[in-house]
Amino acid sequence: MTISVEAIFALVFLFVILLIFLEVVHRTLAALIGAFLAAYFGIVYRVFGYEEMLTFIDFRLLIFVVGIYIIVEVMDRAGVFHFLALSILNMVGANPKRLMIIFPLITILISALLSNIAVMMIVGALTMAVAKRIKLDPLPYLISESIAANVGGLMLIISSIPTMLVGMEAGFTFLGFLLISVPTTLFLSLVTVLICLSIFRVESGEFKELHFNPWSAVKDRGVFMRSIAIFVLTLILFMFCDRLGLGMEAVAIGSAVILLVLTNVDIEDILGHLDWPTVFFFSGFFILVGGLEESGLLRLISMHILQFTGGNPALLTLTILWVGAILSGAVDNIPITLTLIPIIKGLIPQVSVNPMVIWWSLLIGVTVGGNFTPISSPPGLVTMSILDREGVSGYFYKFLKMNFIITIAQLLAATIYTYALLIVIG
Amino acid sequence: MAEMEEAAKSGSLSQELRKRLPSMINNVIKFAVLMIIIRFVAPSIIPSNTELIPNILGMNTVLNALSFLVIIYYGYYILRDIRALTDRAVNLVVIRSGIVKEGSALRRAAMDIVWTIGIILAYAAVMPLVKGAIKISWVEIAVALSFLLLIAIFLYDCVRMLSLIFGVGIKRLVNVIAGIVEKAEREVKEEGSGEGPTG
Repeated sequence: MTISVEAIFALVFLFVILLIFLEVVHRTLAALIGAFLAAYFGIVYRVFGYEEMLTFIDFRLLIFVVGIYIIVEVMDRAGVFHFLALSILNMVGANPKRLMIIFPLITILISALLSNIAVMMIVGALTMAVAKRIKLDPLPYLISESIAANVGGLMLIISSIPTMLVGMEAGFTFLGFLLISVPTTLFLSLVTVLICLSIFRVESGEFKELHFNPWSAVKDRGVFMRSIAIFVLTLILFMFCDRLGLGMEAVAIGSAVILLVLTNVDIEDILGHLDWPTVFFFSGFFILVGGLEESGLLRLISMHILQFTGGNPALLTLTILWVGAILSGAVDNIPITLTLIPIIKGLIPQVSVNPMVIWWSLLIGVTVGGNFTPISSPPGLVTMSILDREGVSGYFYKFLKMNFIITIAQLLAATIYTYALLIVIG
Repeated sequence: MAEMEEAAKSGSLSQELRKRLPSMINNVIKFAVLMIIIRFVAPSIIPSNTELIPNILGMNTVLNALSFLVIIYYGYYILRDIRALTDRAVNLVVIRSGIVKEGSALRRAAMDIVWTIGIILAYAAVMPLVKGAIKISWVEIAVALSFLLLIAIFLYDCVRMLSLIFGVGIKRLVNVIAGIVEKAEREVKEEGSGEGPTG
């Protein structure tokens, strides 16, 4: 019984995905097991050497992610996001229908900068506070926010892990990314809000003014102001880093260091709260995907996709959109993005489509797909924990049903949008 | 559901062996004796080329038919015992692997697949070392066979779990259909009893 190298690597990948899907071990450990197996088989079966294996890890991306994590963690400690949310609520006031528009929009806005778990914790807590104050059923609002949190992850190159991964791998500039991300996010936000309004059938109700004190979220005004200033500077540097001859990772880590110095926060505390499991997950999965690439398996998959779509640009982009979405509904979207990136890289030279359209179909697919069920993305899980803590029961079926309906509607809208993108810039 | 739980339970292989092995040996002996009679003793008394009813029924056909019946009859009982013992043995191996601690039959089937892939990978990892270190072909064959046995155990358990799930699903569907029919029957009966003489 001899097993081909491609089959071995396919089994390693399937093994890791099943470990993550069945939650047998933590996803980071699953990725590290995958890295170990890929390294062992790669070296023993002479697919690649040890030195070559080390080049599989994208250290630029790891530095970029750590830099962004530090900046966001310091800003969150300074109360920037809480302040922003409370100020917007004060400005718009509240009636049930208006809140159904405002809460998802606040969520999208903040999740453009903050991890979607933290966003859900902030906006979810605010929603509960408002719902108690004006006696509302919080469930429809929380469901719409958990879906909006994923949509907001498309806004900036730094908004979510998939955007960082695709942005860095595809070589997007900060502004080049914005050019497509802004209309895409606006379109998907509009679709999300409209669907939520129509399926939850929220009545307009009585208008009430809200009087929150946004400064209650800020402990130190000096730290607050300095962190905002550094963040704005970071965004400006992101826009011009290619002209300065710098990589985005250099800007991110440089800004993080300056922010740490200027805000004088406890660095051990900040570093202790960073999402290190995700960083280790990346390292492990990079080696696994590198192994898959070297074994020729990903090239084989690219060829099959090409055969299936017949090189038809529309069919190809829509296949990537839907496959990315369905897979992300079942497994975390980070491993799916990491695996699909080299496949798409192999496809791009062989089709006559603007690569940007293909990259964006992947991004939209993996982002929207995370909403398929409440348990397929972190915001859904956070929402469930908020509802449990507040003693709301019997919501799961409704949550599941609404998530599924909204995601299918979003994907149909995304299909039209991607097709339009293909016609305009493809 | 009860069947699934039963399948997931540890079960005692020794108890099953005590119960099944004597009956299996008994059936194998009976089977062997009957086959010896049919295949060797009977033809020596009445030659197999004898025609019992000329041009219609030969001795050979009768002996073949008898062999067929004996194989079906005893084969059924022997296979039933073997299956029960295999189930217990597979259960024992699967439980030792830690799969049955939690979750449903579907999860157990999925975990069986994880274990099967893990064993195939272990085989792929070990074989180059075995080939390099020991240049004896029968050692290679023995290693390959032991891995194959483990793979077979987990695949068998996976298929068993899936068939249980399928069986439970079918049972539920049948119950739903029966419920609908029952309801319809009741309604018809009620309508029938409500219709009094109008005259």
